[in-house]
Amino acid sequence: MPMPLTMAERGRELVLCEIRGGMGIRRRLTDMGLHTGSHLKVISNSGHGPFVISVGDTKLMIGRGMARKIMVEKPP
Amino acid sequence: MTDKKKITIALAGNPNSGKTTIFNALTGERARTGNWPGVTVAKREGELDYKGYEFKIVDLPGTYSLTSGTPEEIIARNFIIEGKPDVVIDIVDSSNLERNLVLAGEIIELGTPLVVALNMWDEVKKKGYRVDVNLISQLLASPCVPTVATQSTGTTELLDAVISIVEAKGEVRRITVGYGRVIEPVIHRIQAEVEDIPSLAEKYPPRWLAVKLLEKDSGVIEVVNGLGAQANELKEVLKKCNVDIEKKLGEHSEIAIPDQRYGFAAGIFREAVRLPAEERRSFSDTVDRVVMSRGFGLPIFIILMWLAFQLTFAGGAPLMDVIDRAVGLLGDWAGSIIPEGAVNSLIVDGIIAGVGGVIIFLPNIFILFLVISFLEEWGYMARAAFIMDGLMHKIGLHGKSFVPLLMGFGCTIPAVMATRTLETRKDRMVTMGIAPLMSCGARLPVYTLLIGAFFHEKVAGNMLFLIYVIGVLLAVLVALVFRKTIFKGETTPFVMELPPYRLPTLSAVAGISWNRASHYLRKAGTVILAASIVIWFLFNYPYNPESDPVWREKQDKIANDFKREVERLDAEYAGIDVPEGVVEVQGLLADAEALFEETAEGLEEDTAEYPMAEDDFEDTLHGLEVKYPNVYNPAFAYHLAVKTEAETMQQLEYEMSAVKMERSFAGRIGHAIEPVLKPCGFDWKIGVSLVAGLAAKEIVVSTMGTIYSLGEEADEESGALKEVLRNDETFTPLVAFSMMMFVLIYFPCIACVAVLKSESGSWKWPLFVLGYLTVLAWICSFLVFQVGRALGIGI
Repeated sequence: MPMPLTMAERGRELVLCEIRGGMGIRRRLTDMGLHTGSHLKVISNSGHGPFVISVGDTKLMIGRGMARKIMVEKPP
Repeated sequence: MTDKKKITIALAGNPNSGKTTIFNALTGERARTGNWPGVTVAKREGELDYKGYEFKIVDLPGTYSLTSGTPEEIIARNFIIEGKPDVVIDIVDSSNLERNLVLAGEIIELGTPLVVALNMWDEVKKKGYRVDVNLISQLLASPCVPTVATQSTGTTELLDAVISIVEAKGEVRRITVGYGRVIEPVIHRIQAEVEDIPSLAEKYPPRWLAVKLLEKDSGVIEVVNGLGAQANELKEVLKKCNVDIEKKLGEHSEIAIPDQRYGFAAGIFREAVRLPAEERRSFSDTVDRVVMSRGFGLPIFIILMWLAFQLTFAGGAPLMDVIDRAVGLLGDWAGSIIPEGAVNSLIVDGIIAGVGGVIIFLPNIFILFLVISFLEEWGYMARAAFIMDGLMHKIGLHGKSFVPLLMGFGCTIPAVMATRTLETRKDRMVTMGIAPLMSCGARLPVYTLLIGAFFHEKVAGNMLFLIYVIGVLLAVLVALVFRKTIFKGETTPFVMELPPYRLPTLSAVAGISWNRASHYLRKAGTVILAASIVIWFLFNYPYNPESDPVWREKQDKIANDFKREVERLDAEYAGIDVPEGVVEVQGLLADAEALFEETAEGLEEDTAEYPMAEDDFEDTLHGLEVKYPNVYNPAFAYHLAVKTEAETMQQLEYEMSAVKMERSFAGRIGHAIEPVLKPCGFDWKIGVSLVAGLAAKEIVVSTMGTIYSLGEEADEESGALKEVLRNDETFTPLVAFSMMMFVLIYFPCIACVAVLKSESGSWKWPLFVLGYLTVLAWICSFLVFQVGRALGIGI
């Protein structure tokens, strides 16, 4: 069941299933390696500090407003 | 048997939250399974007697939300609306609270009383979470009961909570899920429309319906469409509202609404839940926890930036002196080997002086690049961008914008070049447009001169700081204006790579810095070279006093006066026995005088050191008088004659320079623009100095030196220049401040304009920036001067 990235627990491995945003946001994220089907892992979600995920070998900082628009789910 | 009071409870909750277990715990034997009408979804109902009540318990299908996405959601929702249970118990997986709270929010929106079962409470303990149950109750205005369904713990408390709600019917506190400044008024508008339609208003909670309509919930839309003509107005308003929201928030309402709901859940989670201490993490992560924390992040950042600046200015200073001297020597040498005339002047006064003035800043700029490159390679800049993003976001910029803006404090040219790292054109253009307001290093001499001349030592530091702060504030203002007018739109969402910390090699950092520095040199060098030549031309033509007989006469007069005086002295002291002695003492006197000059150069008459220097000089003279009594008087007389000739001749030269400047093209421009500058408190001399600043800000001070008849040697430390300015009747502390404002804001040097063009792709933006900066400078100076004059400050 898809949920926003912000609600994912630390350490969870997830799959990106939808990006709820316009072309601009989608393109930015794709540039960074995030698109539908990407596997990612939540590194840090402590409420303070940035939301940090790892996609492949890269660590990304994501603003919270942005993270709420990224829908993820558990990998099949 | 008396009629037991009946209470209907609906059990809702996310799948896998233990709902079924609780249902079983509550109903035990007295449960039966069927189907929800029309679908193949199982329906479970049960009964229970407790404390004199007969409970009917309906197990709703597990859902994540109550939007018409899946059949389960529709069933759950319809039961709550149509079945009208007395209370809904939301069963929540406590170790996954945030997501589960979304459903709670939706149940609250439906208006039915809610009790939250914080199930799997044992997991919470095991994972080390700390959940403030009371706080959640408060925030949801609903009782929250920890339960462990598998152990049947908490079930009685659940029922007690339900009973307390039923018995308190009507006097229950409710909360509303808020949707923010933009959406709330829209909700109200639609709610009003809904309330006008009885068939809707009676069946559905109006506000909930309004929210769902905005969310484009299919079930709700179907209902509204089924109403036919009565709903036409509602549909009209709805359409307009959707467009409105999209315009104001930049996203569709069907995304904005659930987004806010997630925010609501996130907010409660953040307040009431404390996650356990992190497990073993990498060193990078540990450092980051401090570096990016709310408490330490900003202070650490400020300290690092302050260090960077200290390094730049302090580290650069000795090198700057070396270069200053080298350029001076070069000028002298060139001046001596090139025959007198226009070419000599062009090369020495124009090219060497102009380009030299810029090269002097190279050490500063190079060090600034070094520091910034180091921080980038090390990985800190990414963290800094995150820290600054909060602030930058408020003025419509991205966190990354702060690096170019920071560099602007050294020199605007590399700052503009650095905007390449920004991702969107909007960010780049706006940042480029406000970078000049970060007062660059070249403007510093002007401030130093004016503050030194007109303001007390004690406030000097604060005045300087004030100027820089004003620059920053204006930049913020302009950025906001740009974002509201020419560069409207959403702020770039913050997504940035977080590189691991790694200690960069010196060669890598030096390489990058040198690369940038040479780029700057090439760009600046070529343009400034051209500009220096133009400025030289403007300042040296068309009038040349050397060829003007009036001045020739004056020079001759001084020479003749000197000749006559020497003849007179020769006659008077003809009988001296030791003429060599006279020459020797004259030499000593000249040395003493030179020493005094050098010491006194930087001082002004009212400082403590000046009288001390004077005293030292007097003592030396006295000593000489005592030591060489016979030849002292004649020696002194000759010395005086020589000194007078030199000084008067020099003064004449300065005057000639000043007149030359006044009558030059630049001077004429100064006079021409004087009427425009007068309201700011400036006269033509200041005007000319400002014009000189077009080529390079460094030239402003030397131009002032020349115009005020002190020759080009005068720099910002010159006590003499400061005094002359103070004595000038146009120049008051207020005017000085007004001028500093003007220099702070008006457009940057030509080289910078050239770089703006190459980075933005056309002449439009640089010309616009030039324009707005000059207008802004004029307005600010004008305000400062007029208001100050009206209030009688600093006149």
